[in-house]
Amino acid sequence: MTRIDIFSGFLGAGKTTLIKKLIAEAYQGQKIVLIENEFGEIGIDGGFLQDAGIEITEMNSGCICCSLVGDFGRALEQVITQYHPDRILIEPSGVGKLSDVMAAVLRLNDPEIQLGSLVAVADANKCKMYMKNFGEFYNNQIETATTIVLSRTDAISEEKLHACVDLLRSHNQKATIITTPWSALTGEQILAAMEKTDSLAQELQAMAEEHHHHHDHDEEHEHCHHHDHDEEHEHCHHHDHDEEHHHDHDGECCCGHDHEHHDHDHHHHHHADEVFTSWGVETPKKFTTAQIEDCLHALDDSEKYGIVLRAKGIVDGADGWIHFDHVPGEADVRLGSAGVTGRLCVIGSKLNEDALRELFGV
Amino acid sequence: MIERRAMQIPVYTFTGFLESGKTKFIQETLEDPRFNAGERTLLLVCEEGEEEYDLSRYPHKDVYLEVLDDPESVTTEQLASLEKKHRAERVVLELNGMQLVGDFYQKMPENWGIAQEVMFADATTILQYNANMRSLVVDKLQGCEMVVFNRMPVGADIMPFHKLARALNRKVDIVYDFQDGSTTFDEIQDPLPFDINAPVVEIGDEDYALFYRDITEEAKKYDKKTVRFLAQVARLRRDKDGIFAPGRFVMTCCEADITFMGIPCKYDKAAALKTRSWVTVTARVEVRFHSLYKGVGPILHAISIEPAMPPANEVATF
Repeated sequence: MTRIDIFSGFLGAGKTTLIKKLIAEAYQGQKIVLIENEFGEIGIDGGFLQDAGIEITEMNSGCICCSLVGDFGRALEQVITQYHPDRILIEPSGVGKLSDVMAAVLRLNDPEIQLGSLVAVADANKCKMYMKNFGEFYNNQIETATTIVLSRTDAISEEKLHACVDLLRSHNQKATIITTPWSALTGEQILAAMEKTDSLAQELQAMAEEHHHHHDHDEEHEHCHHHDHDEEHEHCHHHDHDEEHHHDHDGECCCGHDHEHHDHDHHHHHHADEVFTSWGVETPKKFTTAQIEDCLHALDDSEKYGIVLRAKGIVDGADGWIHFDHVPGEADVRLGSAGVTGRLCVIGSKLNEDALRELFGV
Repeated sequence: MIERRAMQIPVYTFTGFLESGKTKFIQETLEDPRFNAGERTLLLVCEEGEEEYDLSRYPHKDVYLEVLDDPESVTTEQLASLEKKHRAERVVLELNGMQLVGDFYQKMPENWGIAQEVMFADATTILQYNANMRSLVVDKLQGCEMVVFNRMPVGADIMPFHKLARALNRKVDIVYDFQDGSTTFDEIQDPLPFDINAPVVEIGDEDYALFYRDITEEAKKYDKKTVRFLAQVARLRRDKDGIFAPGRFVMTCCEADITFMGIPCKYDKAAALKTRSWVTVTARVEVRFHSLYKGVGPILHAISIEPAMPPANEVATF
């Protein structure tokens, strides 16, 4: 199985720099082929690639009037037959449409090929101007991407960064937008965001599941007894006996898995849905620790915000990133490593989303 | 023709990619009373970058700014009505770098005539753009009368820029604006790679494209001269014997624009030549009226046509 990641973005956006970072820090141990259809300023030098065990294939149609499709498909097939790579990274021409490249991959209809991440690399300083003047191909890259990686966010005011993210959001509601300067991130973090192993939706789901688990405590025994027939229950048992565990547990706890297999749990899950609502947002906004503490404290006002069961997130702070995990009466706010973008998650019941937005200013 | 044009609306066109300095230049030009002496000027803008127009600084205020948000869908009627609305005497046009210049010219009302076309290019990005968006660079360079390479690092080698511009446009004036504010005009002479005064002008295999362009642009220079070059055989007219067109497939920009460029050649045994076969042509050039040109142009008269081996690169380039 070969996974294909596509890195679109206009000339000078930083595609090559991003790819180099991922090769050095995230794709290690995989057999990689890089297909370049752009002649960039920063060439990926052969030496670097050889050290990393990477094959490089340049396509010689670096021109807007040359059709990508057709030849491109053939080149891709050739690369797969010749190298059987784990992954192919495609850096298409900066003035091409991402959807065209994607379509060329899908058109191969090869069961051995899996379409991976669709990335748009965009210079945060130039997004607005490019969108306005380039039109079609640029918007296509933004709209088709599953992950938008902003470059040069360290050289931009917070206000401009917000405007940029809002503009991108208006064209693409679903994509993860990476707003943190790359130097503060590891390639692994970027890859995790690209592959959605770390996304807002997952975070919310995990929190809901943990809470549902935690909340319906009385039912839990029954619930887990039922599980005894399942291979996953060792995990589950462990969970049962440790009440404190629910904080750190990730989304792969037994409840999350099991409701897909058991009618009983399914019902259970429904019940949970009726009780809980969740609200989450991703934002490049900068906070101070005091601001976050004030916000968390304010959440106790259930009249205004609804009943908050838990609030969790990481946001960009003045000196480093602020990580917080708050359950009523107990707030844990500390400094930690950077995230790809700031993220706020709240679960509870009858949450007033507008009030929450206003509280956090997002 | 020229007299009629004088009555037309002159269009001053500024081309180049985003952030190449078009707006700044136009702004400064319109601030200059030598260019802005009160003519009613329609300032048509197809691109909005970081720089903005400041109409308040103009010595005369008869400048009317109109922004075309979607330059691709603009119509002739729309342009004509803008001219009428502002009773414009002339047009200053800032094009969008991603659009083909000709596409816009095609839509201009008939009474609009191009007075001047100037291209701006940021020296720190244009070579990279050329490598990736060659067709758009070619489009702008081929048609302009002047190109300004700006933001040149002090001490930078101008040759890559000179070559880029000169290969596409023999007559273009080239200006270099350096980051320290100094400006240099390109005065580099480009001698032809072959000796035009030799008894037999020998064209190297890699110089055909250049030779072809030179002989079509400045045919008189070649009148009565004998030339020798490697070419492929093409037929001109099926019904007419005694003439064929030796030439080469020439690529200006990329694979998509490869075209056969041949020169008519009188040769009594032309019918016996195999189309697309390679020959070494030795011929005398006569420049005169010919129906093929609907005017004056070079016609070759074969002295000898010899079979030959194909060159290393069958497609000729500039």
